[in-house]
Amino acid sequence: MKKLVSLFLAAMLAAMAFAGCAGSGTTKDIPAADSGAEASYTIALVPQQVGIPYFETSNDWAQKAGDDLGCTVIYTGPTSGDAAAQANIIQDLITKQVDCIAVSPLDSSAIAPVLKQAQDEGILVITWDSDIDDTSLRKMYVNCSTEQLLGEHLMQRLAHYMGEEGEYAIITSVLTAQNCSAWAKFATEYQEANYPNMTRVAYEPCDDDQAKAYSITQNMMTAYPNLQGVLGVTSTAPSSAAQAVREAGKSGEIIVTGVVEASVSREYLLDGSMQEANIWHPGKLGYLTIFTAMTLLNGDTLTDKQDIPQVGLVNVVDDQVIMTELLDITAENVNEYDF
Amino acid sequence: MGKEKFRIRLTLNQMVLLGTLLIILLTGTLVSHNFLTLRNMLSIFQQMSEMGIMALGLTLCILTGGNDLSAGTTMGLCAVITGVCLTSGMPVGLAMVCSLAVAVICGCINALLISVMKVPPMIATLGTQMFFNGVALVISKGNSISNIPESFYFFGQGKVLGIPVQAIVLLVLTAALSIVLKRKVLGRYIIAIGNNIKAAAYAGIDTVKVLFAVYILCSLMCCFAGNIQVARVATARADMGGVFLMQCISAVVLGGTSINGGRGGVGGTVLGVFIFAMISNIMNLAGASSFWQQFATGSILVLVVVFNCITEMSQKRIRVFSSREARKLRSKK
Repeated sequence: MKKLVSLFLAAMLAAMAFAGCAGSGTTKDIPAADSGAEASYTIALVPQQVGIPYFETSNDWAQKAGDDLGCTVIYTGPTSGDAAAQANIIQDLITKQVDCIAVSPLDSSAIAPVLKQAQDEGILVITWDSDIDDTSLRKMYVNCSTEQLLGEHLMQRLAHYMGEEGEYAIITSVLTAQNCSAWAKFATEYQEANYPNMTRVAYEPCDDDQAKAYSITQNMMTAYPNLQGVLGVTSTAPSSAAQAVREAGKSGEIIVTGVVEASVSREYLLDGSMQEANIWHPGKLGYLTIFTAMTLLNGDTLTDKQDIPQVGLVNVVDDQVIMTELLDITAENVNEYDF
Repeated sequence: MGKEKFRIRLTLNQMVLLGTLLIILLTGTLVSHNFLTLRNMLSIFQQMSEMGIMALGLTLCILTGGNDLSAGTTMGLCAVITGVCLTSGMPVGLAMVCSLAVAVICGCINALLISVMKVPPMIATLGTQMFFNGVALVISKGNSISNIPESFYFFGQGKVLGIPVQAIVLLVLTAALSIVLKRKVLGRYIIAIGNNIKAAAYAGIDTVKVLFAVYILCSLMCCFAGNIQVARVATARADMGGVFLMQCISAVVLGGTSINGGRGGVGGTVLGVFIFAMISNIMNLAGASSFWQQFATGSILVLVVVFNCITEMSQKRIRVFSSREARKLRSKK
């Protein structure tokens, strides 16, 4: 009996193997809904990590864009800050033969080989939220803001609350994320040029993990008793930092600002443990990404100072599409925002 | 009587594994036309090889009744060493030798703690896990090392006769370790230690030497995995392999190796890794959220392990029952 079952299993597996080898190459997976009408584009939106509110909001608006523009948007990404896992996902998307891959890279060079593969297969590649080193591998980069502008703005607001003096620390996501590193760099340079009485005492990665950001802030408060400001350049850091500051009883004494969504920061802005959130609308970034992808897939281009529905004015500089709206969210206006 | 039952139990577990494999293959075909194509299968092999090679090393450790929680960070450390050596201009061969040397040192440290100082493996490797991670972070300053020379890409992106290089490496290593475990004396010693280390020592087995061999082999496997990943993503990071550890241990257990040691093999492990890789691939092809992947992987692991335990318990009961019967018969005489 057992022998029969084993033989049966072996035979089935062999049959599947032959079926696979005989299958000629890969074909497009046509979405079932469009079986009657003309096939619509499939765009894969790959974030740095799924489950983070920032990217989830981008996805919500990207799905809206999919409905508005008539395309299918797939949202999938790694569950941890693992660049190799992101490469695996992109590889599978290539097998799936999507029309466009829009990725926010975790590491500015780790996915270069798979993006090259995607390009060779004729799949449109764009980056959003964060860029890669080898820009020839992607058609366009959908940027939330010019890096220098954002970095300097972050520092200006932090300095405003700190009275332009004192010790501060910066918390970033992973050290290899191009976007956060660039903002931190420009912020620091701006501080060194304009606020000589401020000193940066620490620059730590929290790997986009709230618990890590929390403990990093606690450790920094212990290590630097004169710490006066914490700037979180990644969206998971400021609220955790604010929580640590609040529990230490130092709300208002230690300034907490950074890039974080309105909904996540509301509690901390209202009770004074965070002073300000400086961010763009992640949903609009997601929408813009899908809009850019569809424009490029249809063979058009975007123009500078174009006004895109739902998004607003964008600048187009070389191969970058840059949103122009930067929002400063404080306790006064936090309830006006829907993200 | 006992030996026959032993053989049946192995076959049962392997049948369950093959059955699961079949079900997943069928699911995959239903999900996407592109699933059962040669190209997608090769893609899966390419993605699973790193985890597979690490799981091979872990199988050896778990067979001895121990564990190597530092496997993930050893992979990261070796990756960083390779990265640093390659970007400082060393030829590929020399960089690999450095990386292998570091792996041997890591394995020796583990083995020293576990076999000589008799620290429980979980605790010892928990400590070395953090230690190796720290060393890797200090060397790489937490940054990822790019500009890996193209001559190195072969190991992670190259193909021989259409088959990804790392898949070939995985197959060769699986065959080699399978031979060692089944046909060589070292393999017998490993299983013996896993069953009862004290009895093995009294039987004259040099447990220290065997454990050194096992942990060094495990670290070498992690080194291979690390180098392959560096070649595949053309970057070296200290956190490489960190996420693999638990998945690899799960794959080893799924493949039929008992977590207490003394029973199991590398074939089952590779099947386990293949199953996990396929689940991941099918979910990606279906566009399903990555969270469902964790759910699916965990469910299958729990089901198979529970099934194994139930059959183990019933086999034990049969043996106890039959030995009681035999004793009754003897006393009647």
